[in-house]
Amino acid sequence: MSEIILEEEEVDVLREIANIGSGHAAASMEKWLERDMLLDVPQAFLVPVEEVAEHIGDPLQTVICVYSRVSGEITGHLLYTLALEDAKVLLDILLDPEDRKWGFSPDNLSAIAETGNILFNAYLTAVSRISGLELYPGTPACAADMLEAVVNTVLLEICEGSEHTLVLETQFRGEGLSSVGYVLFLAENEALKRLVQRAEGE
Amino acid sequence: MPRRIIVKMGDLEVSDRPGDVLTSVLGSCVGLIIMDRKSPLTGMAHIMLPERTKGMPEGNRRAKYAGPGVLSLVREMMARGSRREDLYAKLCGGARLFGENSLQNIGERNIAVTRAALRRLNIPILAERVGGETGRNVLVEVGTGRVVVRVSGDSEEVI
Repeated sequence: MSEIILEEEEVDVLREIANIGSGHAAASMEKWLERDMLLDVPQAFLVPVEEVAEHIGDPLQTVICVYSRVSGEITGHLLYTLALEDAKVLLDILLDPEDRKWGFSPDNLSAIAETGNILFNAYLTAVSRISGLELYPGTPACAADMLEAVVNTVLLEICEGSEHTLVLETQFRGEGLSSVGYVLFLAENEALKRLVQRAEGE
Repeated sequence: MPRRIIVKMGDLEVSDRPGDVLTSVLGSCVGLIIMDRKSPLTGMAHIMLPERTKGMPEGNRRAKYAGPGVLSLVREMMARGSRREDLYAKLCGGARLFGENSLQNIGERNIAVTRAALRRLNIPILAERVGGETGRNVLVEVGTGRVVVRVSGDSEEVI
């Protein structure tokens, strides 16, 4: 079997799909945080598997990451990553001032995991709607660790058949705030091709 | 000038220049470090997966899979003059970052297959920091035999 390569036009369609997914996710984030969101156009980059982390950020930087497997008609992976300063911004919004205590406490991580869950559900609902594919998020899992360790661990699930991976990345920013994290969608090239075909009506 | 050599995922690097540092960040991947008792020659392989699924392309990364990765690194060191009986190994990585019930436990299988491949070649493992739920930043000092293992949050130890 040879490697399945994504064409440039397919990447464009996938970027648009990510854009729609992210738009929907931003709308649910607005309700969750009670604050307007500013959304950049998602980045789509096709890079060698071993270079993904450095394209996303400083590989050694500690991030908080919520992970969910996407299952259904295709398999994929969603990650919600926050730099520590992003996580502080998010927790300041979500937690009552008297409960607010910075650190990797179970309460803090669960508030962040719930935010990831809300983003993932909305993102996938939109992607399902435009592609007609049934897609379901799994139970979110949370880790606080070095960016490269986290990203590579997820990449191991999809890298076997391909030397390059398409990363669909959206930054979420609240009105008047810097970043409140990034959502990354990753899948095997075969699954991404299927997504494009279905979105374009086969 | 000592160099800082990044060992990329699926790749391997070897150096015999004292002062050089071989480095990787490891989650579920395994960092296999092989050293030579009689010379500064030091190598590291950044192993990604335990074994190739049938039908999958082989790809061109020498250390993508544990078995071929171990062999490639040992061959590289022998081509540079090491004798197999002088080699010893240190292992890092193979963690499970997201706890149970999320991703497959690739880390644990990576460790098992790497250990088995070293055993077949009679290369002893003198130190290891494997498993657990944290990623590791590994810095291997060529010439001293020291391996610095850092985890997120700044704690570090030398093995």
